[in-house]
Amino acid sequence: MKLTFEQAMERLEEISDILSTGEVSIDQSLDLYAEGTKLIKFCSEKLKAVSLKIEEIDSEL
Amino acid sequence: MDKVFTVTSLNNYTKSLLEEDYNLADVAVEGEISNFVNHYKSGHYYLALKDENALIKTVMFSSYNRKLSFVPQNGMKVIVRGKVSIYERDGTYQLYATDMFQSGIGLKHLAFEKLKEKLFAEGLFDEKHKKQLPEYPFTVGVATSATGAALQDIISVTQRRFPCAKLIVAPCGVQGDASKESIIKAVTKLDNTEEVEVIIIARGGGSKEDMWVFNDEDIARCAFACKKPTVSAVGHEIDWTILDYVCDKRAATPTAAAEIVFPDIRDLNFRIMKYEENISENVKGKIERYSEKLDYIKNSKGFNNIKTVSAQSADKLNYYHKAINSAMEIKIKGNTQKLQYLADKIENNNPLSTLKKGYSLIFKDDVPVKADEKINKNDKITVRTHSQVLSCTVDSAKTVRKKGTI
Repeated sequence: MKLTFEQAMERLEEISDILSTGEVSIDQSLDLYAEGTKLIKFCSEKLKAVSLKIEEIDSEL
Repeated sequence: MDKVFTVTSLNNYTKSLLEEDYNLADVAVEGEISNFVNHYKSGHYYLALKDENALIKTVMFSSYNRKLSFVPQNGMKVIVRGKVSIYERDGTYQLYATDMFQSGIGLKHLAFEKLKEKLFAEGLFDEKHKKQLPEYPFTVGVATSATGAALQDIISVTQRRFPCAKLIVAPCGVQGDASKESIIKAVTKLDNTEEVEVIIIARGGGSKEDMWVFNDEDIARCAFACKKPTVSAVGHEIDWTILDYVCDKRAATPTAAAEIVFPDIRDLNFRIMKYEENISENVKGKIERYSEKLDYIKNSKGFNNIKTVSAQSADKLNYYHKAINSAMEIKIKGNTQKLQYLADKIENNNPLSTLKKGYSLIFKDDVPVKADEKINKNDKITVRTHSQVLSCTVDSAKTVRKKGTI
């Protein structure tokens, strides 16, 4: 199952919340940090394109 | 003739006959208004609807006539929609109007109202069928004229709000009945294009007559059948088309449609930045707390005692302290295992836990005894165990042979 942007954003929010409560071991914190860093990279990549793509399709085909 | 009616029962009877007739329950009648009275107190309209040969008394109660967009006048040609019944008190047969349209545009409006009611009854407008728009649509289909202002508006809003998106445009006609087929084909094509996440059906400005094609029943059913969420942007601020009722979301203009569909990338980037800050601040904070704990241990009395007893172990601790500091750098690379290993080490080297394990510290004149320091017979020493401080006098003192010496 490919990760969607929406799922990534949701997970980021979750990680951010878990870390804010402080009720995790340093081991877990670092795992979450590593995961969060990956997700941030994934999301930022997705938003990177600065020029809109426009494609035309023929409805007759 | 075996029964004598009262007038009341006769009128009641004929009224029930008329009201039983399905055809008379909802009729549309075209005629000209005469004897129009707007009752000053009740607000009900009383009039006669007539043609060349006949007339029918008509009443339109204020609850219905309140919704009319025009005031009827004598001589005006109208289509009246309502039911046929009898007013029992006067024995008058009359038309009870529920709606009224001016002739000409009247017919079209009547058809519009009828179709709207029909599709409503079928549940095509039901809230429960409304599909939710995706929060972050990266690919959006647009069915509109390739040359119209609607497409330009959508492009410029998308470029501003969500430039990482892709628009797939399925060109179609947008006015006149001839464009009906091309609209259905465009929408169907977009619905069948896998990557499309939402479909916008748009039309730029124009007259009310121009947009009439979007009141078509087949277009409504096509939009309803879409697997993907649909957004209509074909009407006017005030005029809704049938398509507006069927689509999952309705926008007053193409610009508004793009604003509804796309999130603002600036908000998104800000949110991601906040997550990033929050996550790294929290992890950094945790590591710093560990580091402080280590400093505390290092500066504690117990540790300093040990330091003099065993400089080696102090070096070791210093080494770990440095290591965890550099681990703070490593954390950026997500080197979690190494850091955990270090954290465990630190815990094990806590001098207080050394005492806990059963070791003791020896002091002479309140100074910790170093590894090679000599203690002689009759010296007074203090022994610190985990739970006690013992004042002792040395009975005898022997030198321990070191490993590797004779």
